[in-house]
Amino acid sequence: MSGRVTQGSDITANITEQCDVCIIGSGAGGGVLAAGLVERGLDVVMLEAGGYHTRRDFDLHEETAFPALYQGRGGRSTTDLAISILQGRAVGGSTTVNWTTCFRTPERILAHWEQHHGIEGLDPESLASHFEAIEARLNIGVWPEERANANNRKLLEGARALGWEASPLRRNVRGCMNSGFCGMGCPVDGKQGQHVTTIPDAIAGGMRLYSDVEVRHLVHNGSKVQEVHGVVMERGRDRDTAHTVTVRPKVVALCGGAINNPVLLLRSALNPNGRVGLRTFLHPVVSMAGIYEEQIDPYYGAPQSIGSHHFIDRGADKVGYFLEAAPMHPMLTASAAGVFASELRELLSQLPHISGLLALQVDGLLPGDEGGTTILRPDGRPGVEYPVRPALVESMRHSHRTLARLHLAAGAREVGSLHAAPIRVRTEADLAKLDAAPYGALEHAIFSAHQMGGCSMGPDPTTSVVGADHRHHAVHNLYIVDGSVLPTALGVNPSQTIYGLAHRARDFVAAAV
Amino acid sequence: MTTSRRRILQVGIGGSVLLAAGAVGLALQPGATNTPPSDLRVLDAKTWSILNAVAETMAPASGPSATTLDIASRVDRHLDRMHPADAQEVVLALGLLENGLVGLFFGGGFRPFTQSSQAQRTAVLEGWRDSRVATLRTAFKAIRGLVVTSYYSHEETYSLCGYPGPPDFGQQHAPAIQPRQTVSMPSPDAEEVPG
Ligand SMILES: Cc1cc2nc3c(=O)[nH]c(=O)nc-3n(C[C@H](O)[C@H](O)[C@H](O)COP(=O)(O)OP(=O)(O)OC[C@H]3O[C@@H](n4cnc5c(N)ncnc54)[C@H](O)[C@@H]3O)c2cc1C
Ligand code: SF4
Repeated sequence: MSGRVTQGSDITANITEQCDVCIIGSGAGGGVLAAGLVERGLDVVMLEAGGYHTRRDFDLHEETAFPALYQGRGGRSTTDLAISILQGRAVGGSTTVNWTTCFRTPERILAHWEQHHGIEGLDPESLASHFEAIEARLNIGVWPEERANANNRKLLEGARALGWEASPLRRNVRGCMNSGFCGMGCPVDGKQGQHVTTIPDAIAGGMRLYSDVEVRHLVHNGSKVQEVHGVVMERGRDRDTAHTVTVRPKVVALCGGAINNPVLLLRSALNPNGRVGLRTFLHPVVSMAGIYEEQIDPYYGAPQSIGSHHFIDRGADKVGYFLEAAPMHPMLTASAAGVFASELRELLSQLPHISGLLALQVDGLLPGDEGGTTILRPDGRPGVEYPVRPALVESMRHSHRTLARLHLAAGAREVGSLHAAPIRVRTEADLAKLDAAPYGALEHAIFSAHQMGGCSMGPDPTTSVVGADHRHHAVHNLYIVDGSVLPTALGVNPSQTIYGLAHRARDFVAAAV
Repeated sequence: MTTSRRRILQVGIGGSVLLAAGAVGLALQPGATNTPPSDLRVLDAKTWSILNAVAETMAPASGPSATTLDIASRVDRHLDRMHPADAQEVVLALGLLENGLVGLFFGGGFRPFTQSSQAQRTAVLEGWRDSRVATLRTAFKAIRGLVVTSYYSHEETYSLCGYPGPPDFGQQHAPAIQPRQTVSMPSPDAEEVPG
């Protein structure tokens, strides 16, 4: 039993595998789980729909990176196209392209889960050892304030001037060269994504990894998964090849992430209580661009290094949000802006002087906030329906005001929104224009880099998909171990929560073999 | 290339009626002004011309023209990477744009898009962008996304953005994964380099 990487292009005939555990998906959840299971002496096969890319492939051009490394060739979105969904599709999953910000799960979120979702055993004390182990393996530590780029520094300066809380973020990096290209794959393996950490660990310990293999179907009898059916995909094109990979495992660990997991379960007719796909959360992001006299170079330097949770709790009836920065390369900036032709050229010509700050809306915490729904489309692929409800419209309006004030306090000469007709703010007096502007779906750019939920965790088999031990309520050899089990959004970037949960889930999954 | 370009017209009855109009647009006589290349993958000569006209309208007046950068063919190559069903929706949306009758009802003139002046084309696109018909706003977002991401991801336009491009980290010299590689990926302990 030797570890091995088999890429789609190596596969010239149908393959059948037997193993203890078949892990579907190689991202934050799948990677950490895989390393832990191999460590326990289990025989693991991992199937990943995306390609196995190494730093050699990362040419740091958006044109190459987005089609190669993201879901939908970079074009995933809600069905109405109102929310652009950035989600990874590669060995390492979203951790190969993420921006490295790491937070332990906030205590108030764990308390909310216990109180409102009945989840027991997830508290800061019992998670601490898991977080510590992950922090050690992925070298998570504070990125020193003096290494923050000008883009992030604007967030800090603005917040300080206004007396708002803001502080340096923790990052999972080792030997980061502060390049700014995390979203296109780290060229120096400084980012400790799963593709350079837990996945190589697991392969060294005997795991067989198949890349370019998308799982289409789980064959089951209602209480047990018997077979996992995958199709080998062409690299770089959304087309099937003629070959398949079939795995007959003792236990299946589904780690494909939000949106992808629910749709696989729906395709496999595994939705006994009708809960699959419900409560899909996105941390919907709105942004404003500040234009400064000085050079910002928002495309260089660690993308996220300063954050503020000053507006995270806005009262019991309001959606809270947190503030971070975004790397601004030409294509992503062009796509986020609402304008075109000369107006877009005019905006982009100022790119070196632009700071892009974000407000991430925390969905799923208010009573009645069910977020969105992941659906199975007739052609077998996922759709995400996400109504932007009034509470979210209110928080987006409030966020715009906050972002504009931050930029002004940090010295911006102009702040622009991402409406089709951008709202321009030059002084505090202009803030009223923002209050009068329209907010919501297709009114301005909205993004998501954090997809959560759709296979909610909870004790009640009628209202959730998996238990607190990650086991499917009806199918006893099926575990779901990734961001899709989160019962609400987190109010912090999700990767470390998922690493921690996966680390905790190792023993549950191993015990089921 | 990125975001905002999928599943553009899956919005119920209104959408299907409009899609039918898109098919009519594609049946009209071509109003092509530029010669499409012969190696198209998803688009045909007609839809290439429509897309080329959109790209000409969405590219800035100052800067390399969309025809010079052959944005329509770049988008064609991208459509080829996408799932065929998604690419097909883009094709139908282009047909919709060409259909002058739709233009008449939704913000433009009655001339086919390819035969309209630049100002008329801008008016049609803005009409879609600001339309009360959700399908048209969505279709606008999809087409805009494809065209501007294709234009601004082209290295020739980096200088328009004052963007010096990515530095060279020498990563292209790193070892490749061997077929059926049996050892783990190296995880180099890179030296901390102050940024
Ligand atoms: C651009 C970007 C920036 C981000 N920045 C941050 C950040 O700074 N900090 C942070 O905490 N989080 C960040 N995130 C989010 C974070 O990376 C994700 O929330 C996290 O990786 C999700 O983990 P996961 O295991 O649920 O799924 P993923 O890590 O996305 O992994 C799922 C994998 O499963 C594969 N898969 C899915 N379905 C199948 C199938 N049927 N068959 C085979 N394979 C399948 C997918 O291709 C994918 O590779 C960012 C995300 C993006 C996209
Ligand atoms: S900022 Fe650091 S971690 Fe991110 S890509 Fe550059 S070197 Fe890698």
